[in-house]
Amino acid sequence: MNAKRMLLNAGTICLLATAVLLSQSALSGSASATPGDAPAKGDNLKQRVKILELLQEEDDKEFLLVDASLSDLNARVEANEERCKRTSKRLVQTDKRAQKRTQQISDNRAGIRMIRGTIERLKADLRANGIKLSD
Amino acid sequence: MKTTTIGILFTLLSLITFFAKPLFISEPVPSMLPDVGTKIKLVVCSATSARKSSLRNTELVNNIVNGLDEDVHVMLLVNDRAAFKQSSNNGRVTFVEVPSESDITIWPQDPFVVVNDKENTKLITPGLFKRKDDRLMASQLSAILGVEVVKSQLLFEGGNIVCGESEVFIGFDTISINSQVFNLSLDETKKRFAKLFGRRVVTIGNETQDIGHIDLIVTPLSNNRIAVADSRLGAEIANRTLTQSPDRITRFERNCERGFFGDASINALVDMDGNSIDCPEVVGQTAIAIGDSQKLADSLDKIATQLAERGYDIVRVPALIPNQESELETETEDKPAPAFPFMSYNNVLTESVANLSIVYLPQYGIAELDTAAIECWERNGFEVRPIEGFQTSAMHGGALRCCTKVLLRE
Repeated sequence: MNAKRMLLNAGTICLLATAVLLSQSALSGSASATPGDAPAKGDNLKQRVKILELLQEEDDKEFLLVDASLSDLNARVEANEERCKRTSKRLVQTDKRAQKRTQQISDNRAGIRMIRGTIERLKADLRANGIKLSD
Repeated sequence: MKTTTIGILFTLLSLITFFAKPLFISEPVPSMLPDVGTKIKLVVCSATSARKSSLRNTELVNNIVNGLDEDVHVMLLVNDRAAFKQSSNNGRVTFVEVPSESDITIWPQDPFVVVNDKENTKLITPGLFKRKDDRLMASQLSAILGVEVVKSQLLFEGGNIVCGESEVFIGFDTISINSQVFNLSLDETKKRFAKLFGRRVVTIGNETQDIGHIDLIVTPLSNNRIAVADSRLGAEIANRTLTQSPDRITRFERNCERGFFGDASINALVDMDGNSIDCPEVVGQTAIAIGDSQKLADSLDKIATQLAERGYDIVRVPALIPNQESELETETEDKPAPAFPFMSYNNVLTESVANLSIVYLPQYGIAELDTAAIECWERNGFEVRPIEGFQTSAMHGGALRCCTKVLLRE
């Protein structure tokens, strides 16, 4: 008897389940997911968005984002410019020194040419006076 | 006997219950979120700070957030949260932090694609995405939003894919690359994408793309229409402005140069790898861009013809498109090195709200071109919501859709 009752109950449940499935199919209409056909079901993402919005107060609709690191960047740009100025000064001084050296070298070369010229004239004079010179 | 009959009935009913469900109730197939459709509810942007990026976009983010409808929620990806202060009582923006040592761009459109059915939203990522650390964007969003990230084997960039009401349009380069990598025919590759995105796939073009991302030149619209960029028209408008008001063009060009680093006094920066980044020369380049834009016109006409043959009504939208053959910054970059702004009026967001079609339209600063684009969209039945300030972004080859990924529609 108990077994019979259990079997009957199981059969009833299966019948009911089938009926539910059939009625779901009849009510939901087409199987393809075209907009508006299927009944609206909850999308987890929509619920998440609602929660996010509720967690924050909303008073001012206008949104303003400020990049505070721009001032960091300006400070770095200014520091770089200072370094560039100092480097430029040093470069100018180095340049002046280089110019001096170049002038000195040029002067020395002129001096050497004069001395060579004088020596050649002396040699010529000595040879003219019959004095033999080694090369 | 009775017991046996009941037992048999029970078994039959169990079997019917088990096997009938898939016959009577079909599971919704996840499909790519279309670029055309109902009201936008949730988007993602990313913001980069001055101290971490040469392309910082705080002002542009402000323009986008305030330009979109006030009940659009924005997920804002940042890798330098401490750098940003925001208005108090801000209910519209949620910061999503990416690890501070990572380097992200301002283009969340590309590293993933959104698919959904009635119940779930998923983010599909490509097999490989090497542009800086943008591959982290999907996983960070997933952690906050509780959506699943699915990694595909296929290789793609979101900017080279746009989605209409029923079909997905993919640029030829994406189909071709996957075909070669996976040793498939072009048709087989399209089928794989169709399965991934849950929609029929149409390849845009049949040869190597002149424009890297089709979302700069193709915009699906409702009612079987598609907007295609018209660079001939854009060139004509720009040329007229150059001839009649050259000062305005020079002013625009100077603004591009001055605004490139966000501060007119900055002429060069050094990136994280120590490489120097110089401001590109823009002054005097409009005339060249006009010529380049005219040269490109035929290939855009071909795309329009291809789509018309497929049965779409084509809407042409002006665009001023500079030479796209410049060297890439590095092998891993898929946007060109900074140059003259790519002025696309196709790289937009659209939505339909109570029978009103709305387009959010980037503006670049050449008034005649910006206005012509607004009038074009209005003639085609759209209420235009212009969003200013895209000239620097456009110098890197991106505009509104590149900067703003829609995650959810009503």
